[in-house]
Amino acid sequence: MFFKKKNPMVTEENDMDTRWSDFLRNFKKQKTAVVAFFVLVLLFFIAIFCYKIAPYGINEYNYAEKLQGPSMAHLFGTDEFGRDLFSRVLCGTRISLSIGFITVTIATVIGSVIGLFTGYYGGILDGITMRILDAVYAFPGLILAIAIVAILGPGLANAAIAIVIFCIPTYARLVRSCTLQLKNSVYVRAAKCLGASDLRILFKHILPGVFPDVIVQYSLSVSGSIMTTASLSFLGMGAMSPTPEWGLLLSNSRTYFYSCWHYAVFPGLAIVITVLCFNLLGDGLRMALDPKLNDRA
Amino acid sequence: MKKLLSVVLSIVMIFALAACGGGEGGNASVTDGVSENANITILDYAEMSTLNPIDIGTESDQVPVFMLYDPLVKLGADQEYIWMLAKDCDMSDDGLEYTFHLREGISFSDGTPWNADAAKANLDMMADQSNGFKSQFVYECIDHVDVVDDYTVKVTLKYVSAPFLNTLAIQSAAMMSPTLIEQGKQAMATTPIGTGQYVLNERRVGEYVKLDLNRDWWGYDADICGGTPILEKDYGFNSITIRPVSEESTRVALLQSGEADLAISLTPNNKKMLEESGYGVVTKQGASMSYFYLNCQKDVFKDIRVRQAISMAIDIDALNEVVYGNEYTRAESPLTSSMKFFEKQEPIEYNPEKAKKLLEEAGYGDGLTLVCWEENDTTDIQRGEFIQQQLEQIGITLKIYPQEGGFLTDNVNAYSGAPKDTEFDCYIRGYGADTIDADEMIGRFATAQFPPLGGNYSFYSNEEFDKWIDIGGKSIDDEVRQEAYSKAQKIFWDDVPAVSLLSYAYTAAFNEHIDGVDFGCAGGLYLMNAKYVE
Amino acid sequence: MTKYILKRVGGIIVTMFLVSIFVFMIIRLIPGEPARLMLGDKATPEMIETITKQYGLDKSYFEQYMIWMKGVLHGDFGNSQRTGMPVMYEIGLRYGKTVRLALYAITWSVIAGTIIGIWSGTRAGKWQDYTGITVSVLGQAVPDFWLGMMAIMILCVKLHLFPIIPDGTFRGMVLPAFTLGAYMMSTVARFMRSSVIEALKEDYTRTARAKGLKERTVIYKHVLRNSVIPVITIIGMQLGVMLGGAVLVESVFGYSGIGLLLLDSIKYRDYTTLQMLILIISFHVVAINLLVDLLYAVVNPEIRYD
Repeated sequence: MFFKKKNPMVTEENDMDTRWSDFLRNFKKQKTAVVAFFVLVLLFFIAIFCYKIAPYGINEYNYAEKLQGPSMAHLFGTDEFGRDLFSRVLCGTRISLSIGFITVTIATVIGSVIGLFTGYYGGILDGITMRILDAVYAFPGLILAIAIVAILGPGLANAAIAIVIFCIPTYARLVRSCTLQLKNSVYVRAAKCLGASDLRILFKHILPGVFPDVIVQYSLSVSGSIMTTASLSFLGMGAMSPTPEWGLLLSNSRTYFYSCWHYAVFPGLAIVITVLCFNLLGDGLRMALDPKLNDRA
Repeated sequence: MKKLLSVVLSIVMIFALAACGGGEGGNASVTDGVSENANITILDYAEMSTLNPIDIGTESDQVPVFMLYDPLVKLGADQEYIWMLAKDCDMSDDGLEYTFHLREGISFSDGTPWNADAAKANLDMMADQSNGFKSQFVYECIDHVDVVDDYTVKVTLKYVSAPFLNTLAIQSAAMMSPTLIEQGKQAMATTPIGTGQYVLNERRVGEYVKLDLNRDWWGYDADICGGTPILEKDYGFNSITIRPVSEESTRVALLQSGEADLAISLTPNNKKMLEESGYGVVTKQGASMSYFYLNCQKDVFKDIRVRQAISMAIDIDALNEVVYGNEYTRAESPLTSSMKFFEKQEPIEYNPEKAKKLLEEAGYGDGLTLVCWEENDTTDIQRGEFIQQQLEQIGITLKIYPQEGGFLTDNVNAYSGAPKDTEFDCYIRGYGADTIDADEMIGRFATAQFPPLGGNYSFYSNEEFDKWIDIGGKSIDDEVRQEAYSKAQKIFWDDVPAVSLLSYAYTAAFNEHIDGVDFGCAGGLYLMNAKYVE
Repeated sequence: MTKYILKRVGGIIVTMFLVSIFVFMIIRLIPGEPARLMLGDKATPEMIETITKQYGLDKSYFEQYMIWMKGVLHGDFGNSQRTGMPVMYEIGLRYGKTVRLALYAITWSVIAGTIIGIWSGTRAGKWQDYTGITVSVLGQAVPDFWLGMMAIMILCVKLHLFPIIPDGTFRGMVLPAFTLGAYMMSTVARFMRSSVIEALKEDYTRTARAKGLKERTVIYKHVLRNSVIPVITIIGMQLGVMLGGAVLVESVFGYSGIGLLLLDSIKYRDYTTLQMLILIISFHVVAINLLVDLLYAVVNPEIRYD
């Protein structure tokens, strides 16, 4: 599985189309990643139609059936209010996926813009921004998120803001270092000589070159974001009852932990499957974009 | 008058002692005392923050206080006075002077004798509000303390305060050694020196606090106690270990595996499960209640029909079942049933139809939107949601904003703007009366208690009500107070400035080694009448 | 080289200065009048005034920051608002526990990760390899709090192999350390696997084999020796993740380290402790990264220091 092939990222007069087909061909070879991709597509459909397919309402109290084990009527059993866990876990998909994508998308855009400009222009602006980002980077992700939630108060929206803030430096650094490399490429220098404006160079010539790295990081960040949301909710700092967020379900399950195994198992499995798929997809994308990596990682 | 009171109190005390002695003939049946094996482990749900009684802030802080320390007087499980470090107390007729006669022959665990000087040192510290201790605000009424003789102190109040004796019976009034007070805040927080039944063996922060029995405790000594000891020698435990375990499931598992003997704070499901598998279980109503406050200064709530409609539209029994597993008790008055002067009121009928009609009459037939604040705790949010659903049935849209505790403290407790301009129309919150006195619980609905001065979150203002509250708070005559609070409860109940929802319950489960577990009236674990069973 | 070190240390000072401002601002931005938050709902105005003065909360932010920084630099971190004890004392009680937990976790994860990595790398494409890959991929996808819960459920409650709460004994430490180290174990395993595969392709391996050396010897000699520095880098980079994980793991196991203290200080609004904890944690991350970088520079003197 070792390709003696040019790295498609290097920005010479590389045709977009061939790059894309190369990428697709390489990606198809990553069988686990393809499987992960299809599982994720399935999860997306679940996220979109969860309220339609869920057999019960997420807040349908049924006090007579509380804390029951899995059965045909309740595939995943019920919780302390007799709500159907299967429906709740199902609907949790929408929350986790949307938080994951929204936060990472915002962080990617902000981070990339910061990275592009600081990397391209350099100088004092670059120095100051990078110092500040270093300082943000000095906080471990979850701890920064906890601190931010302590200011803003618990809640999903605030947890999302916290995640955006700690994701930004990752992208800013990544894009900045790519920009630094590309800035001196023959291609960009040529464009400069032809009198292209800075903005044009940045968005037309440098951004596409940065794109592959960002995509790989994106997939990995989404899984990180989902995990952090769940962790915050687990600590009581993210989603609030009765939101069926997976981390919160796990947190609530702790009270009944010893008598009801099913309550803790299923939401946890949901997190594992989702995070696993994003990680595998991210690995696959990385290898497809940079086949030299194939046998590393 | 005051003699009568002390006679009544002593009779009550004798009954209490007879009850805890478990039989008549007190000192006739002296046993060998507590067995060496009587070691128990108690699981609390949170770590205590301090061992300083006057600085306690949470229920967990309260747990060890009455093991290490004794107060002048204690409230028994049924709110009777049990005289501890004081023999009795005389009150002046105007209710401003309290003269305490102290017990003789008691000393602190460091050898310092207990006397009037020691009592004064404690009372002075409690009264001095500039110390900034968390629990000392209740002693704000103390004007000055005089030493009359070696074993007599006289406390003079700034104004008549009916619950004063009750405030001396709570954990924050535990008497510390004067040498400890001199050593300052840090010593008070870490190295307790009291006269209590137990002494501190070791505290490992985050792990446990271990207390050892003080076999020479004065309460076992019939002579010091004036004939009948406070406790027989076989009551108590050789050692008590208190461990903070925040996860309820872990507390249950530790109890089941025998690593612990007693666990507090359990949800109904777990409590039932433990009870069914043979564990002892205690549930007791405390002095806390949740209220749905309606800002009476808002135009919409100036109309009593709207307030009544809301009170009729909430099915409190269903709330109790859905959110609290029927573990709490439906309010039958603004006071909890465990409080003195409690009078059961006519239950408000759950009747959405009638409520709808009342709303129509008031001109809100097409619906009404209200802003409601609450704390963002999980069960609090569930409670809010339930009420939201209920009010929807009568056409009221309740917009609930769960807020951070700090935000609420700032914007509700410390609100200083015009009462009718509050951002919230309604507010759901629990209130616990530390002093277990009606004055604290219902007296805060007086006009003078608008935030930021007090806890009148309904901004309720009613002259008649104020009058009775004033009479009740300024009297030390139980009959007068009974009448005053009876009237005040009735007015409150009819006027509905706040819907009284549920009064809280405290639960504990324990294994076969412990007998006599109870909760104090304010909710703290009360192990005084407990003993070890082999 | 000296210039490089000086430059890096200087950078750290700037970073820590910014971090301290962040931390300071985080605490001031928390809504609520601090004195009232500390004293609770029933505080009298007089008590609030006392506390406000005592903690210097009436001064300007700049003054407060200067006082705080001066204290921190002199080793005086202030008193905890919750317990009244010096923050230094509160943190000191728990710091060692978290360090112990982290050391156990790092130790097992590096050893297990190395073994699994080599095992699956040398048997690439066989079932052993797939097992290894599965373990390491799962290790990065399982939330540590859930892993901890499952471990308690099965190993403590059902099988009674370990005490439910870590009781200070080694046996009690097994599960928390296992949970905390799972993620790092995966990272190390993946790295080792790829190093082994790469090494097996290299010329020197073929040469060594041709010379009649056993493959095992070759791997031990080259792969392991070359992996020491990258593995240390991984540890350094993952330390932040691990500190975050420690909060969750300590919460699940009721292990009273600084992670649990952090959660408690938020719960009880103990801001002096909270700001000090965050500062200390970020200082560790920054310092360890510096150490790793310096180590790198010492081992690979040929890299350019710019």
